Amino acid sequence: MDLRSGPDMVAEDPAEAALTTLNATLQQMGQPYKLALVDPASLKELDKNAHYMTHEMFQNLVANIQRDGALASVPFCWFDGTTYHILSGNHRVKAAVAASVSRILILYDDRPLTRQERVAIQLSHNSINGKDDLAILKELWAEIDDLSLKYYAGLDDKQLEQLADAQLKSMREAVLDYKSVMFLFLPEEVEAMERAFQRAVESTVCEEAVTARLSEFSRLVDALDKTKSSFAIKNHAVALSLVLEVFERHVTDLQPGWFQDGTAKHKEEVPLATVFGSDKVPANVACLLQKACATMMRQGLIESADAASVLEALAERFLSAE
Amino acid sequence: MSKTTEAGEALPWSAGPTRPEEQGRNLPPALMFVGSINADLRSILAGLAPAWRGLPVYVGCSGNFTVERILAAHGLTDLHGNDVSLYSCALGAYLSDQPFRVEVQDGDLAWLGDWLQPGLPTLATLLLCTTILDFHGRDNPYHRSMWNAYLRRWPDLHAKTLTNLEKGLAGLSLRGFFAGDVVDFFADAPEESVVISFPPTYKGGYERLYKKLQAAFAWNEPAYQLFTVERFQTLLESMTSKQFWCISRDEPVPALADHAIGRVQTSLRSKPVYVYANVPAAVLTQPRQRLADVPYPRLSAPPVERPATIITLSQEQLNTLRSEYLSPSIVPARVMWAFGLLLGGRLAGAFAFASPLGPVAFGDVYMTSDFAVQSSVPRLSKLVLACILSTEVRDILEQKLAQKVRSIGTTAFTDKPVSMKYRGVFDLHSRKEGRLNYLGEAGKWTLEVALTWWQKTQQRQP
Repeated sequence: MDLRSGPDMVAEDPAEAALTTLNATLQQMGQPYKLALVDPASLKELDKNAHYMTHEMFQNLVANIQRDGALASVPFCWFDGTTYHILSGNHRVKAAVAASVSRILILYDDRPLTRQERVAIQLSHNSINGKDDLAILKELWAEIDDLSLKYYAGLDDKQLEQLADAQLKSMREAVLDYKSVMFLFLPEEVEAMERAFQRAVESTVCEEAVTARLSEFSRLVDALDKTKSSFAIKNHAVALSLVLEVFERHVTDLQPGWFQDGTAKHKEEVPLATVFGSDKVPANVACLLQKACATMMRQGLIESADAASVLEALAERFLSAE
Repeated sequence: MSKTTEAGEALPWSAGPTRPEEQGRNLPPALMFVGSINADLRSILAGLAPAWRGLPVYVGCSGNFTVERILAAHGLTDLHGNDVSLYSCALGAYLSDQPFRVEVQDGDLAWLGDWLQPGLPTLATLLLCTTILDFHGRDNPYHRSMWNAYLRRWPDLHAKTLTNLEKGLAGLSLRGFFAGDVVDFFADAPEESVVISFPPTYKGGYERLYKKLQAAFAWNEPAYQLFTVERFQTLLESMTSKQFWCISRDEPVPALADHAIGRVQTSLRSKPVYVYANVPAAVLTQPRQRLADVPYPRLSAPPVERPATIITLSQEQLNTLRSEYLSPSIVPARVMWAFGLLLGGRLAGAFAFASPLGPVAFGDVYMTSDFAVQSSVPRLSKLVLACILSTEVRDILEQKLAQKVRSIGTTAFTDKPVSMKYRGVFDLHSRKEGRLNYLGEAGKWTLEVALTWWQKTQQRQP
């Protein structure tokens, strides 16, 4: 036997030697578990763990371990003869590594355990725990008047509803009101379209909804994209307004919708802008029209001064004169 | 457990890897007067107020007079304010019943002269100008559109702002207001008084924030010195010589460690604010992530089955998954949209995108997070990345953004020259110290093709 290895090496470390003695005593007393002082980085973590910890809680744990210089509760492991497998305390071990603690005390079981037994131990340590009575918790919390100890406790005043009321009326400037308009791009299949429309209407608050086929969506996005790139803008509403300006400049291109080979394609009303390119005329032209209307009414050429009657009478007279 | 700790060391607020694009702090002009005193800080002040009753209170850097309003609401009446900015000085003069001179000096804005009647009308005009001047004189369809909209609605907006001011200032008056340097202001405060300061947290902050407002209006600008470390020390010495004092900073002040009475942090990515005072108190607030169950079995082991589908995750569900599968040293950020990848109905991974309104340095959208679940399936994270570049994900993003999405940017935090995770799926866009920026072609293939590519190229590799 090499005297420089095995038990002799362990015996060189007083802590290890003390633990060996203590473990032997515990065993004699019928205790099934043993203690060991180990490098936390050498422990094998669970391959599957339902228990998780948020970033902020983990950082709290790391800070506490750094402050203490040690783990304040011992992880529970299973020793298979060569490796310690963590069954309880995965986050404590990880936090100890993050806190640069070189050795931690662990409790372990070195008896043969089946996978099921190990899983049951793992789950029991996470699921069997106590509950806090909030009133008593607040009383205990109130005993701490040191900020760093409050942090150590892992709670805070907002969480425990301990903040004083400090509501103030807003002194903000008024802002522009926005009207929401929703473009719904729906599947073409009737059933899918109805479902999607219903879902959208139920889940969205908007003042106006415009529906279109889903296949048109990419065309709109494409048009908006080109507009935004051209003007170096990002705002959707402004881009849409610029798209509409382009449309308005080319509104007479809508004529094929109602005009073909010199005749009307349907009997519905169509916008005058598709004829004239605009709905507006200079004021002096409007005055002339007004006078013409009155004259036509007096002469009985028209029964009412609506645009359709007036323009029809004017056009027919002009064409007959030709 | 030691009771004496240095401020800042006691609570080691983590500063793990963060996405640079999320670090940008846009401070909308409207928030310039209220940004530094959040609801948690206001609660601390409300809790301290009873200890100061009966004494004159001198508030440095009054800003929007939030401190004064809280103290007045708690019965303190001998209040004295101070500031150097146009709006705050106009407000201070109004509250202390002093005259205040302000004139329009920008010819393009001469019409504002009709809206500068003394008192609240002037305050309403100046407050509105903190927002609308951002759109003035800029040759861009968006800014023109906003400016015109504000001009059209001006009378109505002015009336509403005036009402807001009336309500907000109800019950508040000042015994005095000093337009000038805060150090001079405190030096003149009597020994038996309370001095409170929530000074600006960065040098030159006033100058940048108020540039447009200053250019538009002429007024009797007070002289003051820029806030530096040296000035802060002078301020501290002056304040701590008074009977009561209270000060906040967005960094620890070791010299005041024994007087730390509050620390508030509103989000994991925001800086904590430290409050020091010579009255007993201990108020701690911390951000806590909200969590929600993710009710999908995990792809913890083979086989990888079809179909591949994308599901939407809530912020809370993403928080849960990040807590489960990402390094706890990474500081999580809020995201705009989060998604999960299901393979044969089992969750393989998750990914999330930042708000498109934030500063994005590269790519049409910026991916803040992507990860695979803990699994014995090799190179699963590569499959998640391949699926992120699918037409299905691109279409979802385009529908949410209503804009073309041709590329997806992301950052790997590493000192290595290349990230093995992104290599072969995303292209290296740029290198910066400790980080690699990657760019991927959005919609380069369908989910099905991505899965086939991964099976052919990644699963066969040793």
